[in-house]
Amino acid sequence: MDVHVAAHQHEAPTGFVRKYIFSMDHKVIGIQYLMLAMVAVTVGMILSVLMRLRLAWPLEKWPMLAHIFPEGFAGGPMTPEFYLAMLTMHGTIMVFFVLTTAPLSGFGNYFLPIQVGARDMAFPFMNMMSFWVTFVAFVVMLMALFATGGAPIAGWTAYTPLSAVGAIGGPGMGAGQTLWVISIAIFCAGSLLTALNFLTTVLNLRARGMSLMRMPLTSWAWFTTAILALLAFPVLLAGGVLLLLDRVGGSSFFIPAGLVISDKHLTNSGGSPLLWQHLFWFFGHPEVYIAILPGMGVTSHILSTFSRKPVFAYKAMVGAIFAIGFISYVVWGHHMFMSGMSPYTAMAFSITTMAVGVPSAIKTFNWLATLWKGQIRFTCAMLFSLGFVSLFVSGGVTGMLLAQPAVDIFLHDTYFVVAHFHIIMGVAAIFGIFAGMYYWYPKMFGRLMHEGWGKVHFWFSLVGVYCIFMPMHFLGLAGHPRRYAQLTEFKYLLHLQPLHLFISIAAFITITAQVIFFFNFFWSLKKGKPAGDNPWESTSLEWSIPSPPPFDNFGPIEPIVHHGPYEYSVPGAAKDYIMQTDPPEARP
Amino acid sequence: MSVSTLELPLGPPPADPRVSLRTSLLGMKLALAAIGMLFTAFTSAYVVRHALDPDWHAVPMPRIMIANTLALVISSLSLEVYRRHRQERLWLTLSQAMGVLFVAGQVFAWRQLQSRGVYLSNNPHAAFFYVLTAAHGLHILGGLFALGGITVVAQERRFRWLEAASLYWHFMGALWLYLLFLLFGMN
Ligand code: HEM
Ligand SMILES: [Cu+2]
Repeated sequence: MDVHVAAHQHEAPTGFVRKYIFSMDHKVIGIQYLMLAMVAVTVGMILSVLMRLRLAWPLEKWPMLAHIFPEGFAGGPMTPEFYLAMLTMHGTIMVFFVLTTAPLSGFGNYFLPIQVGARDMAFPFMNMMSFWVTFVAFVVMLMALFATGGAPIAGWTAYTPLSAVGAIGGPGMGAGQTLWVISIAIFCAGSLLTALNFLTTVLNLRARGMSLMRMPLTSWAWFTTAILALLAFPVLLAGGVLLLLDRVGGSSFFIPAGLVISDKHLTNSGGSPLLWQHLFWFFGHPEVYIAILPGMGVTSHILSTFSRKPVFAYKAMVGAIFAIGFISYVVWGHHMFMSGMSPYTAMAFSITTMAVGVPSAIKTFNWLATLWKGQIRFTCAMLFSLGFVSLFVSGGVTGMLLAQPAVDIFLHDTYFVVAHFHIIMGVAAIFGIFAGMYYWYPKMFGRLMHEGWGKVHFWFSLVGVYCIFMPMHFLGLAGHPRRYAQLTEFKYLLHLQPLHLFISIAAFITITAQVIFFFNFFWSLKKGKPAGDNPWESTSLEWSIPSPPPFDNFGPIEPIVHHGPYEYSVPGAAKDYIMQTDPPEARP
Repeated sequence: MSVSTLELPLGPPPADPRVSLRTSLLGMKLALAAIGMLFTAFTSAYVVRHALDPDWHAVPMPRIMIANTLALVISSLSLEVYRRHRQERLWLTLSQAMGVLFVAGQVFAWRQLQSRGVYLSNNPHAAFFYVLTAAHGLHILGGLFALGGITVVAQERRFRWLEAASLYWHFMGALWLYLLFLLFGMN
């Protein structure tokens, strides 16, 4: 086998700016991404609080809020337009700037190179660019939030023709929507740079002895996710370019002939609104797996570590990740069952969608088998990983229901879908992030987070999210449509109002409980227990180096890998774990 | 080939040129995969939009684009000659000049269409023409930057820069032929 060394030699920079701001060190970049995600998640949560206020108390006027957002209230309760704007920005910020940046770019940047034994990413300059491009995208997205005319109201999926017609589409559909499209296009560029780096690093810069089949499942997950990103984001970019041209260039890629909006007859002709849906969901479905796959990797890794057992059927796990990644490219039509597609097409998409259940079930059963008869250590990281498994199952089961076109005709665009994707994408991925944070925090900052407060945080979060999202299934089954500010005029929904109240209160409690996490995070930076190199007695490479790791990760030593990633409780070994860099004799 | 890391003195190992070359080429191939996906998405939009539109009027190809195509092909070929022999700077200069000529010719083609009253907004075929050639053109500008870099970058990076830039440039040439076929070959 060839030597694998970092393709470049670099010295540690000294100035503050080169070290912490325009840094090319993958670890600094990883933390920058995590910080970006933290800011974004805070904004996203505030927006969701505003929405929940409206839903729980439909007629309240909230004078204090009305003072802050005069147009949003216009003297009465929050306007439906303002509600839709909050909804759009909430979804967009969460999906792109939290669920894509934190699990993939954040933890991936920090730990992928170390886990495969590289000193940095393959292209450090490009890596730095990827963060700052993403940062600019975020700034532009915030500009959309405060644009004149208001924030866009077309949802995170920006369905055409509404998103394409410009200001006459409603408030926020002028400058706001244009900024939205530009931000997303910039975001695509940043994500592509990240994906390129991840793939090249894994394929070319692994340490000696780090064969592919010795990579931790976290690295496998980031690798697969990067493939998805590399092939999905260009499609969104193409769609975004065409959408932007429809908005500012007068073309009609997505605007059909004879469209009348607000009594105005548009002159466009021949465009296809469905074309956008195809382009969007061809990206969109892989995107939801971009959000969840790193969480699956983290969960596999952590379940094994804290049950002191090898991952059950490692090869099957790798295969399942790949199968999920591959199948995610041929299921996008399940978002479009209601678009008038032929029943045969719908059946094909239904079958491919259900096929995702097979590798998903493989993963779930292997997680359970990993736990089976393990010596389980209930650390915070472990608890959040167990929570991830629970949420993944709860959300996956409803996915199977939605995959039936006949059922979906009823459930599409109801709260049932909202419940499904929040549980599986929103919350499961967030639990993956939390698990990763409690697990890797000591490595990143040299100190442990407070376990006691972490557990309080966990229980509030787990019970909280189930209280929030489980009842939404009932709303959906009762026919409650999504993306409406207020449904008090509909008799058949009136009796469900208490449920909305319950959900909102649960949401406020759960969101407040996140303060515990933020407090723990910042408190532990200074006051946490010193971590040492390997507080969890883990096996992968990042635990063989100091916490936090030195600039080039491994110092003067070139890491050489002699073991698989999950050699826990090997009979006859001196300790109950063998690190990947331990000498070959460690395994008797 | 194998250099044992065990024999290396302490301290970060010297950057191995073979690894660097492989890494650059792999990075470039992945970038090309992404670019390929971008144009695949445009293609599918083109096919769908074409099939749906009852009043799709194909714009005839501006004549100058034949010359442009020739320039791009010559550019690719001369770059290949330079890559193989590397002594004759002339081939590189020729390649760069032909690339610039291509861009100039494309600008001319755009202006010609506009002077005939063909805009983004009034003809879907023209809209795709503008989008596809502009997207390709931006990539060509990036490629010209890369070709310019070959003789500018530090000596030890020069070789892999040239290899990666050639790969990119040939891809752009092939992509151009494909776009011509897509836009004008099927009408
Ligand atoms: C067992 C696997 C899964 C199946 C069978 C499945 C199935 C579906 C179906 C059929 C829909 C469309 C419902 C509708 O709009 O009427 C849907 C929506 C959605 N799913 Fe899943 N899903 C699965 C896993 C996931 C995962 C892992 C994620 C994310 C991590 C996810 C995220 C979403 C999102 C975000 C939406 C809604 C998008 C929107 O309309 O805004 N799903 N799912
Ligand atoms: Cu989907």
